[in-house]
Formats: sequence, structure tokens, C-alpha cells
Amino acid sequence: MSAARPVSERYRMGRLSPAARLLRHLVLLAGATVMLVPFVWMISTSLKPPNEIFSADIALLPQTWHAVENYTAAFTKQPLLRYLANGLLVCAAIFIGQVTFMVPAAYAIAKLRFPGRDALFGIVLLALLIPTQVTAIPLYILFYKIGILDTYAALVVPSVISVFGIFLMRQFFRTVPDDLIHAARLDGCSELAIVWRIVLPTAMPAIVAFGILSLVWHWNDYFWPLLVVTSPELATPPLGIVFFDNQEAGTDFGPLMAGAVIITAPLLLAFLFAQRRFIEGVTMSGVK
Amino acid sequence: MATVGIRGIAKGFGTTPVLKGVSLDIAHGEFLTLVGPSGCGKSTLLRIIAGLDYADAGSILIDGQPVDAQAPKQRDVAMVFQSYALYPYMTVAQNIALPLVMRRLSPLQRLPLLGRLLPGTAVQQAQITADVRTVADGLDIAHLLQRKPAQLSGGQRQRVALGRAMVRQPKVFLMDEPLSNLDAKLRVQMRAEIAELHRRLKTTFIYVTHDQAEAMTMSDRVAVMLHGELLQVAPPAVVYRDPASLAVAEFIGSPKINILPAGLRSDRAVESLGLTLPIRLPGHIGSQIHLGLRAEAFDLLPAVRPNANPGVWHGHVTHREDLGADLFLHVQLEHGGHRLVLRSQHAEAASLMVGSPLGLRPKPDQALLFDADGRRLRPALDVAGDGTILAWDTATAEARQFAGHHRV
Repeated sequence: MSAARPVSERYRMGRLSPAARLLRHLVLLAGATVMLVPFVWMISTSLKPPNEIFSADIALLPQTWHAVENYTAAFTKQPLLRYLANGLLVCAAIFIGQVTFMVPAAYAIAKLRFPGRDALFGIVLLALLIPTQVTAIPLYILFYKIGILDTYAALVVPSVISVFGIFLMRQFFRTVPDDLIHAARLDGCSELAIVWRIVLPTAMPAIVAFGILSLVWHWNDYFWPLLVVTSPELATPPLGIVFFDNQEAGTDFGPLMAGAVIITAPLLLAFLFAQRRFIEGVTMSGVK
Repeated sequence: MATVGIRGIAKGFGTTPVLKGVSLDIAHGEFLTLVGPSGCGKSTLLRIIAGLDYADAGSILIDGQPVDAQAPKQRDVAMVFQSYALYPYMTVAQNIALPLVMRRLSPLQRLPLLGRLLPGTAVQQAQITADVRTVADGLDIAHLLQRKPAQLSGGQRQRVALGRAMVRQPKVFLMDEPLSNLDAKLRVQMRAEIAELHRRLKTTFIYVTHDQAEAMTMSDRVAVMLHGELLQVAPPAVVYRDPASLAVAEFIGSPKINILPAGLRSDRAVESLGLTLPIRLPGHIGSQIHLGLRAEAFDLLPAVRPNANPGVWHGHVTHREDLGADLFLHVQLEHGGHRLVLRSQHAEAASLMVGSPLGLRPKPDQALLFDADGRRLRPALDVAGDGTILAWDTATAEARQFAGHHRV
């Protein structure tokens, strides 16, 4: 390859030999397989009748299709729609709460000058290091004392302040030019108006990226709902799936897997829907 | 329209003083330019006037009232930024409308959907749209109203930024190097447009720039700043012809003023590089001074034998800069090897190429003298031997008269 070629052309040609490129793809393929097999197996199992699920042969497709029965059972044996609605409600409430708190907090830490600002940011960083399990027991006791165990509030309240969100937004807001904020002040915006009208829209890619992370985390969260919720009608999807288990008749894997497919689907759809924005948000540091 | 008073403004960042007690009065409808090299504190001063930054000491008055305790939005000033600072996700129309939306609509009326249903919102909105339209028409950007800033060229963004500043008819316009991001051609065009805008709006303009061409061409008065201090505040012509100090003389004027060592032989004779100039400067005999000569303060003479004429410097051309209308010659003097830049006419310099010898005679009436510390030394108003008043003093008197019209 001659050095005189334009850079773009050299990149298009690829700098690796065909063998190396093949190897690269094999490695990636192996990784993708490891990630995807459980999902494929989940879908496959959700289509099989009980006797085939425990057969010794490995078959991806069932010999007798049992999909209708499994998926019907998933919706009828347990109030799966209720679980999905609970999940949606809890995730939405958490996300709205997180944005409400993290955007002004991040703006203040990134752009306002006040004594103790750096110490405050230090506390945010410190809080990032604390695992949720550490605060679980004190929070549980607190919720017991104020009597909100086994309510939606118990599911939502501990998550509405996201230090990770504050950190992420703060990093993003620092890239917003000061002149933009100065202009807004002169144009008559209050600090809150600056946050919601001027700064937030510029941070939409970061908000979407954070939204996806928040949705995945709280939709899939099993630990905290298990701790604070005992009523089946408040169960979030992962908790609800467990109710398929432990039945007197033993675990019914077909409907269980069908239920698992159904509760995974919204996440996949949400990701596909916001994929472009999400990647923008994750890679935004390279743009500026 | 408003007056702006700056009273002893001081500001430091850490231990570094940025502004050292700056005081200045700006009249109703005046176009004042703060000019100085980068880092001289001019932008900081502008931000303090706007209320975006706080002074350590001193006070800002608008229309005679101290505004130090007021937030930027209460001061009724508008600012145009070097980076334009347009809101990137809003259309041009929304950008220009924002100051009106924030001022005319109540917080409830500003709510996204609900606001439209409240009584009076529709009328106000229609008025805002009409006002935005008027401003856009005036700036010739009406066809861009639905675009986003990213879809505009630099010049168009500049106009939108001007529109956003104009739309609420503020008392004072502040401009922080608004033309620095434009290409040279557009800058000249926008210079004229901003000056025209000032004449039309008759509002007080405070304009910050490091570009002396902008300062000289647009302003009623120029305030030259250096190291956080005001060195001179005067109309452009005065700053150029009658600088208060060596620093001002060196900063203002392109090409840079030629500075040569000089001494005083008697009360009426300044000597520099073996040449005597008839300038009367009592009381400085024997002291070392600086002689400043602008590029146009020379007569070009044909080359003669060195020392044949004691009233002439001899040198040779080291570089020729032909800018079309202007022709600059870089000349190295034989006496002491000093280098000078002079402006000449094409006709007289036609035969002068790099290396050509030539003779130079400084015009004593255009000589500027400074003492060893850079302070200006003013020759006594004098009647020359032949009875005519020295032209230099005439120019100064003219400039002073001009300055008088502008309430110096």
C-alpha cells in the first residue's frame, strides 16, 4: 500500500491482512455467542412443551410447538400485565425523579460558583463508591419506621437521587460554554429557567443515555423489590417471574420462560428505539 | 439610551490584579470602544458592567444609579458575545424571541402546552412574533427565521446574535469582540453595519476589541487599556495623532510607530541619530527621550552621498510591502542600524526596490516625543522662525476641538 494514498482510502482498505480480519471476526463472534445463547435458549424453551424441555437432546426448535399454551399460561397463571404495568410505573417515576434532582444539582456543581462546591462534588464522587447493598438495611428500617414498606413509594424513593446521574450530567454540563449561560442570564432567564430551557435541551443525548441505563437497571432490579415488597399486586416484572416458581406443582418452565421473554422485550424495544441517541450520549466525550 | 459610569473598578483573580481602579464615564448614545491587547482586562470590565462578574471594589452606574446589587437581567443591558452564544437547539426565531418571552410572559404563560390556553398569551405571542419579524427584517435575516444556528454561516449567526440583543431595546449594548470569528472581508462589512446600527438605534454601545482597526473606524471615543489600566480615552483621531503615552502610540497605528532614541541639545532642538529637529521643548536639556514617528511622518528624498546633507537620514530598502492602495517600505538606517517602516506613494517609490538607497527627512511637525518612562512630552505651542504656527500643533488643536464635541 503506497503512502501516497489518501488517508480515507487506506482506512477503507483496512490495515489488517485478511487472516487477521477473519480472526478478529471469529473472536467477536465467539463473544456474541456467549452473550446471546442464554437469550436464544430462553426463547427456545418458551416454545417447547414440558416433556421436550427436559429431553436429553439439544434442539433449538421444538418438535411440537407449545408456544400458544406457554404464552397464554404466562398471562393467565400470573397477572403478568400487572407486573409489566408496575415495572413501567416504577421505572417512569424513578426516571422522572432522577432527572428532576440530578439536572439542577449537576448544573450547580458544574456552572455555579459557591463556597463548598468542590467539596460537594467530592461527596458525589464518594457516594458513587457506596454499593446499594450497604444502604439497604438502614433504608429498610427507615421505611419500616415511617410505614411505607410494601408500597410503590418504597420501590421508587431510594432511587430518585442518582449520584451517577449527577456525575454524568456534571461532566456534560461542563462542556456547555459559559457564554451560553451568560447570554441566558442577560436575556432574563432565572437560574432554574437556564437549567430547564437552555442547558437541559443541549444535554438530551446524555439524558437519553442515562435514561436507558436507568431503565435497564431498575426494570431488572430484583434485590430491592424483593426486600420491600411482599404483596403480589406490587411486584415488578423480575419479582413477578419468581411467582411462576415455587408452585406446589413444581416449576413450570415453559410459561416461566415465556414470561421472561415478555419482560425482556420492552428493554430490547426501548434500546432499539433510542439506539442512535444512546450511542451519541455514550460517545459524546469524543465529539466536543 | 443611558449613561454608564464606571467608578474605580478593581478586580483580581487570585493574586493577579486584572483591573486596577478603572474609572470612565460614557455618555448617552455614545459608541465607546475598549481596546487593548488580550489579557488587559477589557472583557472582564465588560462582564462587570453586564453583571456577569463581580468587582472587588468600585461601582457601576447606569443612568446615574448604582447597579452593583442588581442581577444581569435587571440592568437592562444586552450583550453580543464573540462565540455568538446562540441557543443551539432553538430556531433563529426562538433565539431572538427568548428575551421577550422571558420578560413579557408570566412563568405560567411560558409553560409548554398549558401556557397557550391562558388568557392573554396568544396576544402576547403574536406581538412577540411581530417584534421578532421587525428586528429580523432590519438585519436582513427574515428568511432564516426557521433555521437552527448550526445551519447558518458565521456572518448570519452574528446577525442573529445582534437581533437577540436588539429585540428588547436595551439601555446599553455590550459587545465582546463580536467580529473576531469572522473572516477579514466580512469583518469590514460588519464593522460598517454595526456602526450604522448604532446610528439608527442611538443607544449607548460599549464595544470591546483587540483590533485597533475596529476601534478606530467605529467609535466616538476609544479607551486604550493595558495591564488593567486605562491609558487614554479620546476620539480615534486624537488617540492616533496625540497619544498620551508611548504605550498608546505603540499600540494604536498600523504599521507600528517608529521609535528612535533622541536627546535635547537645546530648548528648541531635538537631536536623533545625527539629525536635528526644530522642536521647542523647554526644561529637558540633556535628558534621553524617545522620538516617535508614524509611517507617514517622513519625506522621501533621492539618495545622496552620506553626510552630504545633515538634515537627512540615509538608509536602504530592506523590504517592500505593496498593499495596493498603500505601499510600505522597510528601511534600515545607516546610522545605528535602526529599522523604520514608512508609508509612501507609488509614484515616488516606483524606482525603490529592495536594496535601493534612499534619503529620509522626518517631518518635525508630526514628531511625537516621550520621556524615558514613556510619558508624553508636549512641545510648547510655538511660532516657528518664519512666523507660521507649526502644523503639528494645528493638528492637535483640531483634534482637541473634535474631542470637545464628544464631551471628553
